[in-house]
Amino acid sequence: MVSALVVVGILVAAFVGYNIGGSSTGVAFGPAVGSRIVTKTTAAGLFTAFAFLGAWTVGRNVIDTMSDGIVPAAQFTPEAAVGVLFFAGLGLMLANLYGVPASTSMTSVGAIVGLGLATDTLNSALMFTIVSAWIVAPLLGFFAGAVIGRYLYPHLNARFSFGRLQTQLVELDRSGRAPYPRFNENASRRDVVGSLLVLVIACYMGFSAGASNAANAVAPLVGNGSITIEQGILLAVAAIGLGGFTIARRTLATVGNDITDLPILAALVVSTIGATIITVLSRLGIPASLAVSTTCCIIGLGWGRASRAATLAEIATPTPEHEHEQGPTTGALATPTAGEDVPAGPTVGELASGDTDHQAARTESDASVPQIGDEDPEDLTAESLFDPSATARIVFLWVFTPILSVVGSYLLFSLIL
Amino acid sequence: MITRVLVPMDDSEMAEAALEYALDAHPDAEVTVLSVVGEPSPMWGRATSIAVEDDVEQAARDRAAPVFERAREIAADADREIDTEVQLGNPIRAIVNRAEDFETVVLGSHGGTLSDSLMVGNVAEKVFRRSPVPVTVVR
Repeated sequence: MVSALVVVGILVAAFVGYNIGGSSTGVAFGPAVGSRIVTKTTAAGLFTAFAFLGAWTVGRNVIDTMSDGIVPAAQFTPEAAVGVLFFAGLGLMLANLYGVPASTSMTSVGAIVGLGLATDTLNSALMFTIVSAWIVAPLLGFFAGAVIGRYLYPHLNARFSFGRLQTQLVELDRSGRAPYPRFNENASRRDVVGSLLVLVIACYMGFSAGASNAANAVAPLVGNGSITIEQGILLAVAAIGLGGFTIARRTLATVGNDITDLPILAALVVSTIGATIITVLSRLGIPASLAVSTTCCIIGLGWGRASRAATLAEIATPTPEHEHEQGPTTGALATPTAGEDVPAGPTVGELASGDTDHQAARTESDASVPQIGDEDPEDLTAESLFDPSATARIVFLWVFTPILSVVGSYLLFSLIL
Repeated sequence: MITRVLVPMDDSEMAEAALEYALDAHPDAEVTVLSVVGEPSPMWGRATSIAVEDDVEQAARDRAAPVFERAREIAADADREIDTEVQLGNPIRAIVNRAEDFETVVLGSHGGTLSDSLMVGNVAEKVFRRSPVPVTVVR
């Protein structure tokens, strides 16, 4: 009976890992696949490899926390392990089927908290640390994004341009005995450097996804000793890889994957910040959501960039809009803004569908950066893109699934098991 | 006699049906098609992709272009001309704000996916409740 439950546990764990692979591959490699740097298959392969690296090194700390930290390992009876994994799987299914923004890490931890509350074994000091990190990390992502968006992004945008590749950058040379990858000979040096950057950051994101997510699939099984931590990592990564090679083909398609709506430069910025936050937290043994931190960074970047039309002094002392438009102090009307001559960089989605023709038309000399406060305050203000009520809504959705998971798991473990 | 009609449109078939109905029901009115772009999405990619552009207004018009193109085709089939207008951000807020300059609003009962309605709510229902002018919901 017990061994049958262990088998069920391993199957559910594999299901959870499979779904993690399906959703995370798209977030990490969406920009790289969208700009035709690698194929979907190469992306899945690279994602699996780097997720393994992340899980094997940094990810152990997170598995430790979730298998023997939030609740003592002894609490993970085979029944409890299956129950906790069931909630993680349920959260993921909601996320994958309906596009509800739900964090696997927060949902899994929620289920373990429910177990801890039901059995009165919750390590509340550790949970306090984890929940604090869940609040601080997204805020950090937001402010990092906002500062970059306001002060650095225009300069970065003037310096880097990302073109579209006609063929894959890295192709498999099958002329030899064994196929080996080599660079596309037609790519210019600039393309190669830019593309490598996109690829390196995608791999970094894969690394951080593996580090924080392997625990969600296998921590309860490691806790009850059904499998060792090494076996757990191998199981988790195998399942994640399977998801990467199969369902991720769908999530990697540009439609419906939010991050591919962004210009490549913006995608690189938010991926780097999101992956760094999650890698650091994982190193500290704290499970946290890559999607939530990255999303906060995306909101911050857009909001910071949107605020550039006003100087900080103007933000601090709001003036009625019509005065603002006439005020010679901004210099906006007197000085024609150089920024409007700069063609917009292509988004990943445009690159993928190939319907853009203005990329690479820009040389470095004609790209100048307007000063903050210099850009035209237009009729359509970008500030209206950052509506507080919609932001509150997304935060509610992030919190909703984990809370549901705590309540469900508490009821399950206190009433039934 | 109604002379100014606002038809908010997304890329759904319901929105096209709403425009067809509006043109049919208000033969002498000036019809303005409103497209709201950069709406909230689960990872906020749509809004931020517009916000980071150097020319926000141009970026917004580019996003709305396919909807306007389709709207002009429908209008041409009915031998009519339409005005177009772009707004940014939360579609409910944008539509309700613009509605006061019109005599009536005609819109489709639903567009978008479940994740869209989780992010902003049911647009038709909320516009119906909050609009300062009469609203026709086409279904």
